Amino acid sequence: MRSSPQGSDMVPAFERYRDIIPDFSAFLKAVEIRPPTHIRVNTLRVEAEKFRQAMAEKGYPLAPVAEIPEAFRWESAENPGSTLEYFRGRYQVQGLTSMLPALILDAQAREHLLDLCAAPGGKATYLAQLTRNQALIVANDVSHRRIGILRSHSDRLGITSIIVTRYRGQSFPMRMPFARILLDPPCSAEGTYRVGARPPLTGDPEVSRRLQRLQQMLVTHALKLLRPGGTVVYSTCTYAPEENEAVLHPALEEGRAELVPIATPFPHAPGLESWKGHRFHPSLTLAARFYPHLVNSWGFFIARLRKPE
Amino acid sequence: MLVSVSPSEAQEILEYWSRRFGVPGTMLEGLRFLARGKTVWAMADLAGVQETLVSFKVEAAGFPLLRKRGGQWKPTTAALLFFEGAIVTNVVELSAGRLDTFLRGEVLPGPFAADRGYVAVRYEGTVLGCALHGEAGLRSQLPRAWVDALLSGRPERGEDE
Repeated sequence: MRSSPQGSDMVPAFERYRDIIPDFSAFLKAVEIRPPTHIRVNTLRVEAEKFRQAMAEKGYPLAPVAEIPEAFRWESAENPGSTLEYFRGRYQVQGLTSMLPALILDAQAREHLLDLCAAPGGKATYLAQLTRNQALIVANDVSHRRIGILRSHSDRLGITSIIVTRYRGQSFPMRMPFARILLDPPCSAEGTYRVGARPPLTGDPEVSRRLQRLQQMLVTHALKLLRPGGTVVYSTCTYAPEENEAVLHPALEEGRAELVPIATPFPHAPGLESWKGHRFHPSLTLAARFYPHLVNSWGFFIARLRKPE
Repeated sequence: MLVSVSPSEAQEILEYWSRRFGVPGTMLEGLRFLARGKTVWAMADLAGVQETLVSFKVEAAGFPLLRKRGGQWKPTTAALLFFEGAIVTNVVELSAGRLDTFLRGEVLPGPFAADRGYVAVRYEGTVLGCALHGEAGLRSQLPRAWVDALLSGRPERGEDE
């Protein structure tokens, strides 16, 4: 078993991003700090402020996140999974930036939604919460084990609007069009590499390239599954341009999708126009790169795409 | 394949919740009951549900509401949590000193002011989940994975994804 990364161990792996991450030294300092734990109150069960007060009375202080009313920073030394309130489905443990794709998708009641790589379900259950169980959500994943976790979370949170399927995302059956699709594909998860959190990076770009092929297939298929005029939110928890801008570039270049600006109150950097000699579609600057020194959470990339009519 | 239950089965389900736990039928309005094998699921009755059920191989829909055990209905902990405030009968309130024993799966000796069979367990005034009230006492029917997560303090892998 590998030990958790210790600060400077991660620097060589991130070094290739020196030219694209703004204030790189602040970024390196941020990844050496353990990130805070965030929770999302299940507002299908309990009102957020009442919940905060009740938890404070039980000895679990929560710090509000101004930008998301149902999000709180977990301040207790206890693990957030160890409370009866968690067991009762009053909240979900979820990284702050991991909440953003569901918010940015901006789903509406009565729409048909697809979360193509949904397990373990944090984003799909948040979509259900945001739409008050009034949008039909197909939550798909290929992994039987991870689907089990998704179902467990969904049951605990009292979600009634999710239908779970198990297909390979790139061959999900084209039997009905979806209004909005959340695509959070498998990625190298570099954004979760902060001290004490995950093992260090391999530093092997081939990992990103292999994932890129899968991600491009998933984007291509997601656009086919989408109704004209529909929205795809593509997100990863990695900084690698090979898994972000380079994945979306072909669909934009060929006119299969267009990028739409993202509305988020959190500070972020724009998507890249170029990387190591590769030029990307200029609209990719409308995508958002979230870094831990700008938002104290996991690193994320989020792009909102629209399928032309 | 998940299929909608018949109108008579739906009525039976409504009557079970009313008779056993005092949950009024209004609490189940807007839900569609689907069955596969011995499990009944509660799914929001949204436009497109039927089309989705027949279009795809569905693993699950909504949350598990009831399971058939030896010809009897067994309520799920997910369902008892869903209806929590509406449950008024066949409820056992656990005292603080007995929670850990209950969570470890040991039988709590009675007596308890509830009918024999499946009951809702409450702790600190709020529903915790399902238990079986038998001759020997009260035994937890809480999902094992949920209890393990609670006792270990680690949510099932999936946080922060």
